[in-house]
Amino acid sequence: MIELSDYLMLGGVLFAISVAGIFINRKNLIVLLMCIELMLLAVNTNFIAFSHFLGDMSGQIFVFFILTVAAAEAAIGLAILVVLFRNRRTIDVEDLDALKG
Amino acid sequence: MSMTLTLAVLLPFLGAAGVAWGSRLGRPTAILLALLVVLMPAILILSLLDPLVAGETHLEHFAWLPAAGLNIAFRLDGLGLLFAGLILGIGALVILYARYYLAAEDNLGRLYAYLLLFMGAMLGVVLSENLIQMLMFWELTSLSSFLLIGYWRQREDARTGARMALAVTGAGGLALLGGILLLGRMTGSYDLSIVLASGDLIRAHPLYVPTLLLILLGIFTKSAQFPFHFWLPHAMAAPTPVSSYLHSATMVKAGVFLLARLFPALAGTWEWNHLVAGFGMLTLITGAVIALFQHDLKGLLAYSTISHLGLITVLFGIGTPLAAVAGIFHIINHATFKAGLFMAAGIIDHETGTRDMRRINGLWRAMPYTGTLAMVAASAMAGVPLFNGFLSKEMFFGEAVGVANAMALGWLLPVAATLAGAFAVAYSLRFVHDVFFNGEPVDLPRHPHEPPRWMRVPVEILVVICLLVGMLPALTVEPILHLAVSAVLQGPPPVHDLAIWHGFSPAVLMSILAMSGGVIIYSVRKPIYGWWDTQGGRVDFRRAYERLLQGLLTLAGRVTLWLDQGSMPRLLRLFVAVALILGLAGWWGSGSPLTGPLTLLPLDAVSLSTGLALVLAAIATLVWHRQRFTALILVGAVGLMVALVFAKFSAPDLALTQLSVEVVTVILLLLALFFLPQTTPEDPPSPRRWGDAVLAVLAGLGMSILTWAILTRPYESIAGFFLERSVPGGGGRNVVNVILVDFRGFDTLGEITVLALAGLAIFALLDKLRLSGQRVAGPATAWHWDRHPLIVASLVRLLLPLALLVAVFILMRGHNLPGGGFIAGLITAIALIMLYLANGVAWTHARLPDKTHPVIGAGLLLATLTGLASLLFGHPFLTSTFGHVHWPLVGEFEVASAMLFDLGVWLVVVGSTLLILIHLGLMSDASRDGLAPGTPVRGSGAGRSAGDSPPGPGC
Amino acid sequence: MTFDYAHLLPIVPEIAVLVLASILLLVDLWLKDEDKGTNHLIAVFGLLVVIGLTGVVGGGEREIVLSGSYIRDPMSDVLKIAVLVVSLLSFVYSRDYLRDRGLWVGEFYVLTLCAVLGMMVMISANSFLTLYLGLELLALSLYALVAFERDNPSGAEAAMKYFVLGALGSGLLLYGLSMLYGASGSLELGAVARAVAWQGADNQVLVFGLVFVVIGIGFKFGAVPFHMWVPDTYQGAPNPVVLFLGSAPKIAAFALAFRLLVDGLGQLHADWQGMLVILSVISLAVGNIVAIAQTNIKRMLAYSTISHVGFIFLGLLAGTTEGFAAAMFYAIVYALMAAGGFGLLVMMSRQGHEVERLEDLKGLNERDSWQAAMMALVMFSMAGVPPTVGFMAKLLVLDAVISIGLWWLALIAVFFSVIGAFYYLRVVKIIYFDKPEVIEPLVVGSGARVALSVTGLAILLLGLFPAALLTYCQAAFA
Repeated sequence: MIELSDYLMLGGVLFAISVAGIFINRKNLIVLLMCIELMLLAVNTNFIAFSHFLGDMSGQIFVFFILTVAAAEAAIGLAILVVLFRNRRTIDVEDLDALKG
Repeated sequence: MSMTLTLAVLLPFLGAAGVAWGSRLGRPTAILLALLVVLMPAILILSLLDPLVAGETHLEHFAWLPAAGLNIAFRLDGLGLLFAGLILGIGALVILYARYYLAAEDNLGRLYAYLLLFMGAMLGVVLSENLIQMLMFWELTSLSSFLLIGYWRQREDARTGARMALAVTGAGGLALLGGILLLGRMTGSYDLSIVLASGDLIRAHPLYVPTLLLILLGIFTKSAQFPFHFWLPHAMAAPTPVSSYLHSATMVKAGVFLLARLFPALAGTWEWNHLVAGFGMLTLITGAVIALFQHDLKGLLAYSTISHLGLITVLFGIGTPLAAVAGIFHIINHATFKAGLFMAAGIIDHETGTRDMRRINGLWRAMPYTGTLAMVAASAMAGVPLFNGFLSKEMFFGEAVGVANAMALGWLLPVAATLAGAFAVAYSLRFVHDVFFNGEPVDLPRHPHEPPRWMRVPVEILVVICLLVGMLPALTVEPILHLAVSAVLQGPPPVHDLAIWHGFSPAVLMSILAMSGGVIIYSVRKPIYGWWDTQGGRVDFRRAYERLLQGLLTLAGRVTLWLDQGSMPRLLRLFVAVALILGLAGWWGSGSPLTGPLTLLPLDAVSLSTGLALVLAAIATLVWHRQRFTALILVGAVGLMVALVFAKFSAPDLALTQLSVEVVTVILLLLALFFLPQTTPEDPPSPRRWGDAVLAVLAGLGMSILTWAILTRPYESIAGFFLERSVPGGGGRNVVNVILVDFRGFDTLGEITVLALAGLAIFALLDKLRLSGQRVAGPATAWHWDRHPLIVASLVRLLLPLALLVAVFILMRGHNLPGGGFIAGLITAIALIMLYLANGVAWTHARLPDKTHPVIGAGLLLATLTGLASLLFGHPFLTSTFGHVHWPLVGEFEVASAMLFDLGVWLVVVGSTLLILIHLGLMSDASRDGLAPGTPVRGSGAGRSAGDSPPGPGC
Repeated sequence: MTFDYAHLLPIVPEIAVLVLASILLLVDLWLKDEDKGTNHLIAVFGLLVVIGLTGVVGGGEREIVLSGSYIRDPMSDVLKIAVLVVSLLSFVYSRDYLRDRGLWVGEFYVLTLCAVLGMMVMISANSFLTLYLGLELLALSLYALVAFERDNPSGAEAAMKYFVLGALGSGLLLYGLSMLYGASGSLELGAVARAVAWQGADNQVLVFGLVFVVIGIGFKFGAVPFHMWVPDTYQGAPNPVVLFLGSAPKIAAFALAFRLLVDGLGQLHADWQGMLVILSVISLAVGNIVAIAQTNIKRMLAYSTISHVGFIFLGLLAGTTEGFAAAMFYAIVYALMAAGGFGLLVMMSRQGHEVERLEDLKGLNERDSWQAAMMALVMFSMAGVPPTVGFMAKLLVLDAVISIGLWWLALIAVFFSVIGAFYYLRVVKIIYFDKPEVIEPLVVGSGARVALSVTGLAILLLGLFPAALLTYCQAAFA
């Protein structure tokens, strides 16, 4: 029998990894996008697990929704990345520092 | 409900607009209009005089913000009457005077408009019953005085002076706001009648001291008390009529007005006595001493004003009823003689073209009449007997002596008073002697002569008042003084005697000392000036103010540098760190134990392996993230794994969606990867990197702790809640299902809107954008020469109908659970994209449109309108349930409605997905086609040219 | 269970916006380049219709529809109309700018309308899902809009930063929501509130979920220390987008905060109050201090926004009817002021010159005294000078904070307002006292002029008669 705990643990680990990836990585914006994807997956895992163990379907529906939004978000992120690359010829995270006070 | 006072306050505001407009008709019209505007409020207020004399306070209330307990309320009592009289009376004189003072090229209408604006604000301050409303007028006086001081915009000193005055008094006003809010909280009302009656409550309140400090801050800044006095001399850049109005009679008096107004509510404590009298005394001395050393005529008057304001403040600080009488009396006297002196100084400035007393000498011959007027006013300022200033000064000396034994360091006060008196005599002497005698004028820009008749009239009136009050105080000033003092004390005034001679007393001695001291100081002025010019200028609070501003700027710059570097990793680090701290704080603060009562169950093999695979894939993604292709595949693997998890939780729909979305996302990333740099540069190890690692580990730990906390807590407790809740509601699970269907329909509409939006956004960003792809990254990454292998192309063409069939099936199957259109749409889109990939853009383009806007728009409209149509038929939005809710008559329509809705969804999904993928793909493909038209890129020929990185696995 | 059409009426305004967006999408395809003004007309008149619809549909008791995921109550009526009006003003302000730069393509309007739809959904959300839907509709549109001028490198950088931080913020918020879902077993706010009340505040999971939710809210508002996206995005984005991004979404963010913290987690007031106190104090401090050092007026206004967010939080954290009404009043009024301020920047920056440095405002009075007066009015209002509405808004918030005994907090707010007044007055000084660098007078379309006058008049009249709006704000929480 798989416990709710396992899935939550899973979600937690995924979330932590994605957070770590988001800011340890300082060279490649694409990896940032991937980490954001990962983060949403962690959230999804949480929702699904809760939904299953609570016997409440609405969590699943939320996941449907997050999936779509995540894809749309990734697509827009990529488009912005492309526009940025075209203007700057770099996708290095550290090069994003032209705007400052 | 009477509106007399309200009208009296509003009229100057309306009049300001009227005069600004009317001044186009010439100066005479402007002055007539302006005087009319002053006259009308005066008549209105005088009409209320009778009940006032009988001892009644006239109140007017209007609902303004009843919900917040705020009313528009005006009150007229003795104090208000006195100040209204000063404001309107001196206002009228200033208007008359300004007509002759202002050069022909200056815009008189603008000055009048500002003056009337200011007059209205001042009337509002002194006639307000509601404290918040008073504060609004208070800030309005700061604003309008900003306009007045900065009237000569072209002059640098005017701009600086105006800004300084606004900054100091405006900031003080905000402090006052804080104080008033606290006061309102204590008494439960902002109405003066209530606040004034709850003095004991306020003084006993624990918040009394902060309240007092805030209110005093407002008062001291407005009345130019030490150490905020520096703005007043700089405000002398204003036209002289403005100075004589604002900086002698009205605006600076607003501060002492409030001191008098709140006297019954705040006075009588140790803090009040020492703070108010203490700062007043410092101001008294500082102003008097510095005034003597001013070479600028108006500068001398400005510092003298500061000193006299200090005197009034000291009187209220002493806090006895008799001192309050003296304070009110001196407010009247100072207003009259100082306004007269400013006007005289203005005449001199006007006639000679300079205000430097080292150059203006011996004017007696040229303008003896003005000289006489100035001498009378100056005598009043010095406190010479028979002039009004003498009377209040005597009372002040008397009170100062009385305090000597009553307060700690009380003996300082008589000494300071005498010293200040001596300096007052000295600077008054200087004003008269330097200007009208003392040899010949030095190099005057203009040849002086007496001013026009009507320019002198205002001064004459003021001087006559000085004399009349000075000689016949009981006949002239006593009635109004009586009324005002009753209002200040909220009770009958103490017995006082406004006679010139009271018999010999310490006060007389002090007067004599001050007189003789003043003459002595003036006689040795030359060496003292020299000393001052080298030493005395050191203590300059303006510099302190500027340093404060500079410090603020520096601080702002530092904080900006530290916080706002624009570096993205920094931003992210900060973000995560703060999240961590907040989480920790939340955990710390909640106080509940971290570990719940449950123990963890042993892991079983299946979940362990799935979980391990997932974690491994995620970690591998991080480790190999520099090989982006590998990383991408691994992310894909994580996604698939999650799909498996979904399937395990008996959510096949979800698993299917996850699968299709994952595929689309990976394709998307692949397309984008094509023209982005292929490898990530090496990130050299640095201390910061280690810091990041620590932060990452901490974040991970935080998550683990959190998970631990959840895991060991019984979720059954919540399930219990649900049972408890759903049983009485009835229907149990059925209700959930009904909800789901409705929910799902609505959710799907949201989903497709997001998708449509994403498609459009990408179209907007990428349409017709051309990028040369990154042809090379590693040596092993040459593109295959045959970009569209025949086998793939034919396979995909075979696959297409199959995929479409599956899509249609899913679309049909989903009709009793809306949302099938979504997955069907994704599958269709994937199939079409495969066509692109296998056959190339050119081939596909000939067969499919590249702008799918109409598809998206039509789909969105279809889905939405289906929902709306069901509205007409009395259906729930976007539902087509069979299971739980029955409508026997319209059963058939349900199917149709759901199908139409799903069709709309399908259209939007296909349209948007295609739009996204095509535009990401078109960009690169077009570039490739453009670079090598017609011929496939062969082998690795072009690929090597930039292959400077060492050979590696690459992608 | 009965369904009648009255059940659906509450969402008619949202449907109307969606239909409007679809129509624009279709119509735009058939428009030639020189006829693109039709897009503008459709959008403006469409929004007017939607405002009317919202008014017709609104009023009366609260209704919960769509199986508990959607709510229409007095608060949502007022907030929606405010969002629509501010968005309408934004369209009118930007008309000439968009025309001159060839930006009035259909996508701009559709994306903006999607954002408006997102805000309306957020305002009326009664479940986590609906809330998230609205949030993402808004956020995704804004990401794309910020990068809309794709040849502008700083626009792309701003969009990237906004996107990454925004996605992270949404992710944290979602994670928090998943916790709350796990702890309460429902996505519906009312049910969540009942579950929270049932089990009390000693559930660790609830508290953690709350932390993430507060972070998410802080992020969407741009409160320090989650403010990093605000200055960069404001500086890099095209002016009309900043106008849009900097005004109405604050109203929606208020709704987000209220729905989550009060409707859903009102029981945990003691927990979130402490967090909001911290966020608001540092927002007030950092916002006001850093704004002083800015030479770019968009960046300065960004930090000013941050400080105003501190004030909105002050009202929220009071946790009383009075405080909520004050915060709501503040959010609406701020959106109006921001629309005026950024609107002026949009109106001034045309013909290839983007107004964004403080120097660009030099001597505005000599170039167009009406615009100068309006800018001064907006600045005074932002500084909180009476009798403008900005003063009233601050007053109400301070009063609410003092009434729960946090007088020291009110004093901190007053202190930083004093510092804040410094940079607002500097703008006034630049407008009136400095010599202009460019002498040519400004050309302003009549629509924008009318919109500007309406904004200015509203700032003054609402300051003198705040009851006109405050009554509605208070009725929303009665």
